[in-house]
Amino acid sequence: MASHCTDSILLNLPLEIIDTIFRHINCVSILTLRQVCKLTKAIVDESAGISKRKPHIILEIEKIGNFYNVSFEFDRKYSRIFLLKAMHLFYIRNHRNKNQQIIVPIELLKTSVEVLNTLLS
Amino acid sequence: FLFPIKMTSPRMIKLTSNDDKTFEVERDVIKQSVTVNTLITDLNMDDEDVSVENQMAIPLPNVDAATLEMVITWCKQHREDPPRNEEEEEKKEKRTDDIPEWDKTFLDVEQSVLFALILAANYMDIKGLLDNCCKTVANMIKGKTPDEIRKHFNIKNDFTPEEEEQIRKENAWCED
Repeated sequence: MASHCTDSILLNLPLEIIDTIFRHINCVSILTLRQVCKLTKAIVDESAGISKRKPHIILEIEKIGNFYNVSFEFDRKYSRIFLLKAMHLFYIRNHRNKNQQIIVPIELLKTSVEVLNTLLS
Repeated sequence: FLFPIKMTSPRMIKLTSNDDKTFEVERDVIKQSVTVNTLITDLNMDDEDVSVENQMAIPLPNVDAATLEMVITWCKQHREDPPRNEEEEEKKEKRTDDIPEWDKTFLDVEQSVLFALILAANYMDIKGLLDNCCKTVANMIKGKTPDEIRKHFNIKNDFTPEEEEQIRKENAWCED
């Protein structure tokens, strides 16, 4: 069992178990966990790959008629949650300022818009 | 015509907790523990010629009697569950609203008991139990503020005010 100099039974569980628990949590709670203490932030960042990567990247968005072709890839563990949230942001910002690029603080690389449509359908 | 029917009693396995309490449990029930199942196979304990009295007890040095009793109760309840396909489980969307009602009640215990169960399920490699325990803890976290989470799990805030402000800025993108 790992020891993290804390009285919390949760934080004294092995790290892989804490990580398993955190993987069951939605985006907002994951981001909340980043604010709880240094260890929870480190686990979340490590697990989502945030600590290893550049914090921001630009998504590629191509306007085709009345549609936007959005190309990006998403983190493998929290993928769906972050993707949906990123899409939500995309719509808000895009309608607000007509930008054809958005910036999100997780690494999102290229993927096909078909994947996106499947996930959103 | 009457034919004699051979009545076979279920195969029993002995498990000993770290506080030296021995439990007899049906082979069919404890097969859900990959750790125990592997030991049984490796030690040829499925040999029908060996009676339960002469059988060696499997020591579980990481599990106390109270927790082991709960683990066995859980395994009995779930003995008819279909085998899990871990690859499929990994692909599935992570959700925490699918804990069976029986498990919800069973896992409604003190944090120390729940975490002991998590450690036992992890050590004994019982995926279904581990999964439902983890989901239960995840549900305790969901919807709470950082401060509420700290209070619930007795976590000390070790961020400086500057660090807290920095994280708040990093997280701002996700706030509606």
